[in-house]
Amino acid sequence: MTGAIKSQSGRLTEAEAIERAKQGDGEAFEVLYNLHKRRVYSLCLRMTANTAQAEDLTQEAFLQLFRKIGTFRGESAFSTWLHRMAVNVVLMHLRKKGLPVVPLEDTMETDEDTTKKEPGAQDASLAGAVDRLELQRAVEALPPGYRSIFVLHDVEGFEHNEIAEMVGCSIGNSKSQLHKARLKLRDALKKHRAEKAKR
Amino acid sequence: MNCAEFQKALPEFAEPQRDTALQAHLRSCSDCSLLVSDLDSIVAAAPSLAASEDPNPQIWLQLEAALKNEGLIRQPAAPLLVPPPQEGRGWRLSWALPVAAAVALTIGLLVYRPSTHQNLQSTGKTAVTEPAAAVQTAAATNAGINEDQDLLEVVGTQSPTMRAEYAANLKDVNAYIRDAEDAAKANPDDEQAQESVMNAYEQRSMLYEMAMDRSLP
Repeated sequence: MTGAIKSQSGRLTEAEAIERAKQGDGEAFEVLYNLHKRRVYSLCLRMTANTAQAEDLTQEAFLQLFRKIGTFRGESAFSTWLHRMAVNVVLMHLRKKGLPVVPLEDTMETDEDTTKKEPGAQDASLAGAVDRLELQRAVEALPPGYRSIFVLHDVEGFEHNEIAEMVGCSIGNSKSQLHKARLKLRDALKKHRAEKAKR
Repeated sequence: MNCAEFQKALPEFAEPQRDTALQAHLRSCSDCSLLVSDLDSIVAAAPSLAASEDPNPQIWLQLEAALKNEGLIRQPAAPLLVPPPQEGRGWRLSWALPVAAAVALTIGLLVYRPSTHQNLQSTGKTAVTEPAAAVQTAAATNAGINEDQDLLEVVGTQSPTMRAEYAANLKDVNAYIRDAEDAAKANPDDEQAQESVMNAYEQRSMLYEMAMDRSLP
């Protein structure tokens, strides 16, 4: 994400806001918050599928960021730094709640279970584009571990090696669980479309 | 390669079409080809979920209070005082803006309350009510632009930086309202889509409240 452009109306750039925030400037904090709030909040909401928790975690992520902003030296992009911090806040929260941050290791099902056909649902294709709203619902309905992997990789763009490091699993596990998450989403989307077609 | 082997190998390949063995199977198997096509559609749609939601404006107020408590904000943010009531404008804005925000929220309630919409459709009054709703929406949009300009004028008199911030916030929340309204129109029976519209209008209303809270002496 690029920083704010200093416009004719006097809007601060991201770099200026960071420097002023290090001095304790309230406006600068607000500028940084406004620049990144959507991305952080959306991440928290997707990972938890719970509005109240997402709001608390957004606040916590920014609070941690602003506590540590004095140590930011600009080696990485500010948005990358913040984003990584937000992911860690959410993962910590999930762990505290006892929710799996990576899918439980195939205790309940096998690949065959995940891909097996359901009568009347699996034969049809999704046929083209997937609507954001229907995908959002399907993601919310995923079990927490699958949801984390899918959001981190496909929504937020983290690589498997980064995910493996963050959630504490192998790269191979991250890949296979992502695949299963996508298969579950495919099933859910088809089921939803089939129900919609019946109405 | 059969289907089971193909599907076992699939997680390893971000783009299975580029692997020769997988490609050969894909060409000969419509089921696996459909599977890959569906998964591609999901992957293509996934980034649309990033940065797609606006948080409740109250979060910033709580965060700001926490930052002040911890001493991280050392200079108070520039107070956005309503300009003195020269020529009678200041006092008018001080009550007119919250009222305008409340009106916008009420219009949102009237136009998009799902039960009302469904009841009217079921009684065959859709042809009469939909143009009325469209007129209300258009009126709300025009009124909204004027209200936003008034708000930004007040904010801008005290802090150009905050004016830019509020302008950006209003732009975001208005875009959110438009998106939510489009989704609600496309899915009139979808309660979640209708709730999104209400949520969007509430967020706009909260922005106004925040600006006015800052402006009070």
